[in-house]
Formats: sequence, structure tokens, C-alpha cells
Amino acid sequence: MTGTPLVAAEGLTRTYARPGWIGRRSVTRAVEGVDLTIAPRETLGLVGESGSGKTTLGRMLLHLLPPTAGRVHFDGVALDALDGAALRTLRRRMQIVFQDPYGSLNPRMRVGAAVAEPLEVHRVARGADARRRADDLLAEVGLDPVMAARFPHELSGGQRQRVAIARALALRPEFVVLDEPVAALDVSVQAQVLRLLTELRDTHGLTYLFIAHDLAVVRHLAHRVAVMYAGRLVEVAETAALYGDARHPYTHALLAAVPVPDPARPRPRVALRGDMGTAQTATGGCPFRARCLHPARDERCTTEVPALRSVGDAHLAACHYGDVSSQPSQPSPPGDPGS
Amino acid sequence: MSALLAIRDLGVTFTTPRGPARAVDGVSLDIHEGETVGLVGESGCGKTVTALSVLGLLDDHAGLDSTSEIRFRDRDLLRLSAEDLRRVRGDQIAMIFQDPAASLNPVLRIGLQVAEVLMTHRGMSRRDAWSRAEALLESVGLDDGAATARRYPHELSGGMQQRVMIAIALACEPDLLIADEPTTALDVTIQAQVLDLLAELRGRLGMAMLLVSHDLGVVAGMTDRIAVMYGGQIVECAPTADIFARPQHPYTAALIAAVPRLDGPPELPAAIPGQVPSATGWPSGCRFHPRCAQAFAPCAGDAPPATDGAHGGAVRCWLHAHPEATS
Repeated sequence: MTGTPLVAAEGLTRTYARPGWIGRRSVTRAVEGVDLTIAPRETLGLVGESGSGKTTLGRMLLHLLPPTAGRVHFDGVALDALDGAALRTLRRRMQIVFQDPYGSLNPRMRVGAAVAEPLEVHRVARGADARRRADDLLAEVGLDPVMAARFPHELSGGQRQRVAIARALALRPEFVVLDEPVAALDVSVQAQVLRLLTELRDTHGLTYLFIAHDLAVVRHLAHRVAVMYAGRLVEVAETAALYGDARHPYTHALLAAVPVPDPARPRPRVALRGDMGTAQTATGGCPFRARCLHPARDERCTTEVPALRSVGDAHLAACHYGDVSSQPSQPSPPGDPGS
Repeated sequence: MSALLAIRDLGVTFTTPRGPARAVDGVSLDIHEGETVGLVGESGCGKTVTALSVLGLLDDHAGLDSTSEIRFRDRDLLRLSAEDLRRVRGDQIAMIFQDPAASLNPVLRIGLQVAEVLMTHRGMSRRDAWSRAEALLESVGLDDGAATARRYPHELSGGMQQRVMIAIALACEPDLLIADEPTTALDVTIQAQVLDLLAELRGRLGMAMLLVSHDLGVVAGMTDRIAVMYGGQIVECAPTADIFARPQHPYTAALIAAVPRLDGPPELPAAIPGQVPSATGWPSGCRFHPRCAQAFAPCAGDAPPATDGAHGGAVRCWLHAHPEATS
């Protein structure tokens, strides 16, 4: 991707102090030193397991959560330098859609009013004009305008997610963070929403950060994919390169773990032992080393934190041995411990 | 060959504020000794209610049809006394659920929760049960069973908690394990570990399994046969290889096509139009007909009968109904 990025993050970090015994506060590093750019009209997939920091990162990009260190530029403007009013104005251009529309829609507000609300808050339209625009937005996300009079509980999960998308699009944003937008939906409805998101992107020239917990969903609509582990980016590559030539052993493990709906292909034996808790108790060295099965892993992995570096054309990996394929050397034995 | 578990004409109706909900409607399914059967479908299709019925775990709002039968070996589980059912449950038939944190008692040590099953069903002493519990915890891949036994549920990760649930379920070496979405709450890498563990233990104990899941990927690698549910009914049941290679019911085919996957073309998966129906108002005729690309004249009017499919399975679809059934 060339040209000026729409969104650029630099050294983005978020830590939480946990109260412990007196004088022994420990620090949890939810996100640590993330550099990231997203080009206009690009869809960047952000993949990681629970606790990897992907949602925290998504919120920091919108300044919904201020970073403890680092900075976000949106269209060249540093978000942390803006005062409240300026940030609110800029916010029209960036929106978020959450996993659970039931939790993000006001249960006592009719769907039409929920979609019109951002227009009124930002004084773009009011009254009948706002309602008429809301009807248009509902039609655009594939809902019959009669739905405008319904309450969220009267809709199915897929319909509610369409309402959340219509509401996010009301102010004609340029950048939308999609935080697991289809994870709570049934498979048959998931594909509908993925298609809708792709159509809207193409019609309006939207830029997406698409957050997901597995690699299968993002493959179908991301241009580039970033993989997160224990608060850090461990691999970033164009979609075809990530799926065809993964260089970080964690990416390999994630790929191997996705169950394939094809009984003719044997289920891969577990590619990864332990869980992320195993990683976070380790200090110094590579955060993934306790679970790593890279054939070249060695002493260096326990002493030196690998930097996210170029390992190929527009391909970054945070692995000392990322220049070669990271196919694991041996599968771990079945029934290996959970930590 | 007589089945280990034979579900016959299971019908369950819930009383809800919005009227009766026919959650399960005429489900029949056999599970043979040592066999793993997948029960697959989307939310509200009746798969969990079917599984809960086997163990008599439905709540008071559920009404069972008087003609329903669930035969385990030679006994009808629906007609056992509460006392007799308790003896079967946790001993010959065990169950694991989606959310292990909700199934474990937060204030009891892990070891006691495993030991309790052995004291109840095997009459073991507390001390013997405890040491057996430590061994069981190690057999489900938890290092240092003695240390794990002394811990409380909140001290374990989700994956480890599910391993504890598996240890509890398998403590009495049941003949049948019912696993309801056992890996849905887990991350993908942990899911792979737990599926491996279940496959290994199933082989070691020779038990049968009913694996309830919304995820075709999960059941593809684990099962011998699959029953696909839609609208409270089994719409297709066939050996796993046939379900994927030659799906007979349009819903089965559409569901497989809708799964995002790592292999195959990068284009978006095909969507099924419309919404998943609800038990308070199933569509008339074939319950899938409003969403079916192949629906034709009879589909909206009459419910299709369950017929033998082309490859040895059973299918509930007018496209496959015998000509005499249409007259």
C-alpha cells in the first residue's frame, strides 16, 4: 500500500496497574508498542485469541481508550493533541461496530430512532429529515423500513447487527472498526453480514479494521492481516502471503487450529501446547517461546525480544527465525496440559 | 444391531409468555456402542433440548410428548424415577457443557468436585476418591494432579476448567458422553487441544459420544455420523463422509457452503437468505422452504416425510420424497 495512511499508530501501548499486596502492584501490558498503518479503502484484518489485546488496540485507534504511551494519527492529525470538541468533530469520520448488538443498542429505543440518533447528536439532521435518512440507511443495510418502528428485542441477531451497521454508517464515516461483527451470529446469517460489509465498503470507499478471533473469517475480506499475541503484533502480511507463507510459528498454530469442514482431511494434531497465560508469566525473550515449535528455536529466544521486522515483500514477522517458513518441527503429543 | 441409545419420536413443547414453543418435533436418533454422532444446527434448532432430554435435565416449562421414548440399553429414561435417573446420570451417561465455569462449584476445591462423583456412584471413601481424582486430572492432561486437585476453579484457565469437567464426566467411565458445544467458549488453539483430548479418551474408554455443535468444522473431524437439525426436526442424518461429500438436504448443502474456511477459493462464502426461524412459529410445510433455493410447489403446503436418502442416510425433503408419498 502506498500513499498517506488514513490511520497510523506509533508505539501504541496500554498498561493496567493491578493492585496486589501493599506496595506490590503488578502491571498488565494489554498492548505493547504497536506500530500500524491502514491505507485509505484498505481492510486490515486483526486476529488474535482472547486476551491478545486486539479489542484494546481497536479502541485506542479511535481514541475511545487513551493509550498509556504512543500516538494515533488519523488522516495526518494526532488524536491526543485534540481537545474534546475537535475530537468529537473528527469522530464523525470514524465509527465502531461491536460483536453484540444487543449490548450496544438501547433496548428501549425504537430501531429508527437509534439509527437517527447520531444524526441528531452531531446536528446533521433532525426530526422528520433524520427519520427519513434513517429509513434510507435501514434500506441500505437490507432492512425493510417497517423495522424502524420495532424494538431491538423484536429483531433477530442478524437484523440487530444490520441496525448497528446502519447506525455506524449514519454519519458517513471513512474508517470503521468492526470488532468481531459476526462472531455472535449463526453461520447462515454470518455470510449475509459479511457480504453486506463488503458491499458497503465498495460502495462508500470505507476503510476497515476487521477484528476476529480466528483466521477463517478475515481471509474472505481483508487485504492485509495482522496477527496479535500477548499484546504485540507478531506478523503482518498481505492476505495471500499470510495464509500461504506464514513466518511466525503462532500464525502457523492458529492456521492449524481452525477446524476444517471436510472429513476427508484429517484433523491436524494439536499444533500448540499451553495457553496465553503460559506466555504472560514469562519475562524477557520472546513472549511466545514457551509454546513455540519452530524448528530453529534456541537460546536467543529466551534472552532477546524479537522485533517486528521485514521478512519479505510487505511481510513483517516478530520472530528471530522468520526468514524461513515456521512449519513446526513436531506436533506436540495429544492430551498436553492446558498450561 | 440394537442401539445403545434410541431416541424415538421425541417431542418437547415449552410454555412461554408468547405461547407454546415446539422446540423439538418428532426427533428419532440412534447411537450405537462406541459410536460418535454429531448433532448439528443453528441456534434454536432444538439440538441442545434434544441432548438435555436424554438426561432429564429439562426445566419445568418443558412438556414431553406422551409418545416419546428414550431407550438406553433396555430402559426408557423418560419413565425412570428421579432416583433411578440420578443413578444413570454421571455414571453410565455423562455430560459436559459449553461453559465450564458455570458448571463448576466456585467454592469447592477441584479435587473434591471430581471425588464427589466417585463417592456418589462408586461408594468410594473420601480418601480413595481424592487420590483417584488426582490420577484422573492427570489423565486429562493437567500436570501435577495433586496440585490441581487443591486449586479452586477461578485459578484455572477456561481450557483447564473444561479439562476438569471432562475428568468429572469420565470419572465413572460412562458408556455414553453427551458433549454440548464443549469447545465453543474456548479459543481456537485451546479448542484443538480439547478436541484431541476427547478423541483420545473416547478411544481409550471405548465410549459412545453425542457431540452437539453449531460448528461443522468441529464435527467433521470427530464423528462417524451426523444428524442435521433445522426447525426442531432432524432434516438429514447420514455417515459423516456422505454429509459433506453428497449432502441430500438443501439446508445441509447451504450450511456447508456458508462456513468461512481456510481452504478453497477466497471469495465470500454463500449466504442463506432470511432468518433462522423460531420455535414459537415454525414456517408451514417444510420449515426450510422460505429460505430454500430449490423450493417448489409442495414445499410450502405439506411437511415432507423423512425418507431414506440415496446413500443410506435419511432425509426430510420433498426433492427426495418417494413418488407415492406425494400422491
